Amino acid sequence: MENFDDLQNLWNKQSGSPINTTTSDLIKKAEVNMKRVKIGQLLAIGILSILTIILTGYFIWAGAYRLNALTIGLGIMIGVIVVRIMLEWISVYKLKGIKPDSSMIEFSNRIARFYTWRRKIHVIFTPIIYISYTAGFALLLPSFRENLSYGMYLYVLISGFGSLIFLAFFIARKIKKETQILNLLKRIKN
Amino acid sequence: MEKKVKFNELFNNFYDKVHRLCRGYFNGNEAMASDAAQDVFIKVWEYLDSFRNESKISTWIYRIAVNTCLLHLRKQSAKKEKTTDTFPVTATELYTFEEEEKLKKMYGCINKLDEKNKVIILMILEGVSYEEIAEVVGITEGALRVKIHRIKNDLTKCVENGKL
Repeated sequence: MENFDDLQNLWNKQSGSPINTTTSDLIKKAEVNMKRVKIGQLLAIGILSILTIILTGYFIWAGAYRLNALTIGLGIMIGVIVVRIMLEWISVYKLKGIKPDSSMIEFSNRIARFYTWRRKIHVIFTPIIYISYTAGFALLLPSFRENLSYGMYLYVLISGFGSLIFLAFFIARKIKKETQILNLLKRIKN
Repeated sequence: MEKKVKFNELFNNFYDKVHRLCRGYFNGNEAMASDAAQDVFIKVWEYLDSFRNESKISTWIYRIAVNTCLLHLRKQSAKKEKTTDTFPVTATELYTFEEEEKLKKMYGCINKLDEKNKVIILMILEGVSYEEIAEVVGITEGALRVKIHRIKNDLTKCVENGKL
């Protein structure tokens, strides 16, 4: 017959843990990590600003009266990319706000809330963004057909829709992964 | 400079405890435990300035350790890595065959517990006080005492007959 004290003794007999790092290595890694986060944020702000400037500049240049399939298509594509980047940016900000020194229950609840928000993005925003982007691309096709050689047009057509199919698989995989994580977190009951 | 001295002190005092906790969390997988333990101390460095002495420093570190292991488990779950049949190599030299088998079973049984109970029993095995465990998990000490009795029973039975 087992008793818990036997298990405790067995546990205590384990040898110490091998230390395969030093504090200066860890500090270095932490500094690199913090720098990477800052660069990532600056990059996101930079991309957003450039896209917004291009978009605004383009529409000022084109003028409302010159709106056609090309400008609308391009506008939609750039617009949804901006929305997507903003959503990712908000996600990074939200995740960063979850401090690792809260209690396990509070932490897992906040992480679960974060993945619920991610799920909303995947279920509501991602399909809208994906369909709009595809529609935007389709609106560009007549203009490509007119201005490009047949070979080049075929290349744009195949590579364009090919990337969209690849993107759909990539998004589906990401949604599956995040759903698995959410299910795991839901098991940590209050 | 003062921060570095403090960090060194924390690393020397807690690395082994954190590593053992992570090792239990990952079914005895040394590599995953080392990765997670390193991540814990990277976070300790990053957040050390925000530590306000509202709890014991050990409680603060255990909270970071538990939450970091949870995040690693999340990544592992996403990668679908399996940690079954892993066992700390360092332990094998100190045990008889029978004890080694029992310790393997013990890791397996701990791994069968839900995340919260897993953390509780690992901290019990590491000799962390009830007050600290309650603070780390985020439940009252009374609720913890009720749970501990049941988890200890479940673990003992599981090691005996393999079922939880």
